[in-house]
Amino acid sequence: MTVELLSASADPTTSSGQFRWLSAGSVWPRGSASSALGHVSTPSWSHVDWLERLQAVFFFCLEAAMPEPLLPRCADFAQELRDVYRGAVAEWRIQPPGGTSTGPSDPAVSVWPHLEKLGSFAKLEHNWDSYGAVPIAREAIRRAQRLVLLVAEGLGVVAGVGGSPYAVAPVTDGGVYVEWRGPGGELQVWVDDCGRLSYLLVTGTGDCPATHEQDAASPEDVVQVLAGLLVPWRPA
Amino acid sequence: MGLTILTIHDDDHLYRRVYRDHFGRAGEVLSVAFKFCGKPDHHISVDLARLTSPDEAVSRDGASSTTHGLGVLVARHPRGLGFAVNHSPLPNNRAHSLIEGENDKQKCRLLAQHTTVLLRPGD
Repeated sequence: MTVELLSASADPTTSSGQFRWLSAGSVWPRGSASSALGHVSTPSWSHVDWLERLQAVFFFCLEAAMPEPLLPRCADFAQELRDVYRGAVAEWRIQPPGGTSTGPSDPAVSVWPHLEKLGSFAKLEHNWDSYGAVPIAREAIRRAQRLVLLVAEGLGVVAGVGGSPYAVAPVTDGGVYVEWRGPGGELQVWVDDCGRLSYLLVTGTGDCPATHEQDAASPEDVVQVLAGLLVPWRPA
Repeated sequence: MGLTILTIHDDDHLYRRVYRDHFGRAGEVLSVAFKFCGKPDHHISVDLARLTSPDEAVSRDGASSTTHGLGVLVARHPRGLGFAVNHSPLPNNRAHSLIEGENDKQKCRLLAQHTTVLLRPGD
């Protein structure tokens, strides 16, 4: 599903505004994210559907494309949307893959702090590392957030820890770094400023662990590799 | 007066500023601290410890002790990975030195593993 925040409009006299969504084809009055749940044509959005909407709000606000009277309220709207999302998860209205929700401990909720931290990298300015780093590309953040959520959805329940990354970090070239650690080793994923993925896989312990570098990886590659790292091996 | 180039010995300590998000949960330095410009950095800037102080090194070039920590590498470790380590003083930083050579993700990881944390952000 392609989701895009098409426009936002505001009424300067009342400081109210509207967000128009491409996929839903509907207009959500500002401050009514709760009621918006009943307006959309696809009531069973997945976690990824929600993330895409939140990303759209987040970046739309950052890029200051929003009319000035509405801009200060954009963060409020994103917060409200997020609360609705969390509420929907808690009430099992959002079903993870397989159709069995785990309720409030749902993987997508457990990785939320990482999604937010990734989003915060968009605010980093030139030379944020003091060695000449460039600002972090929006595409890198989007791809990394999608990857984190994809892993949580695909492996979170069986991994038992929500498939949460060990660390997320900005990269000085404008990319993003995500690292997972598990019983089988660690995986360092690098998302470049164009959203391309590469990784370093480290397996085994001690002084001489085995390593493997992979360029041009797909999100599905990453999930497959992580399945061997995060999910504890059990004898048949 | 020109800048004097010193010899960096294997036992010399090198300071590297580490951005706050480049620390792991256990306080260790992550591999990402040693990457730059789309490929792993072929010229990693560090400070020669004997020509500066931790407080001075951590606060250069727009950094501060609230946003950055300070890691320490012993020169023999990057050299053991195939890097050259040379003093490269700048007019505003006579301690400036470079770790130079072909880098990759695995070397980034090993450099991080060899880095001892001297100051954490907020120290």
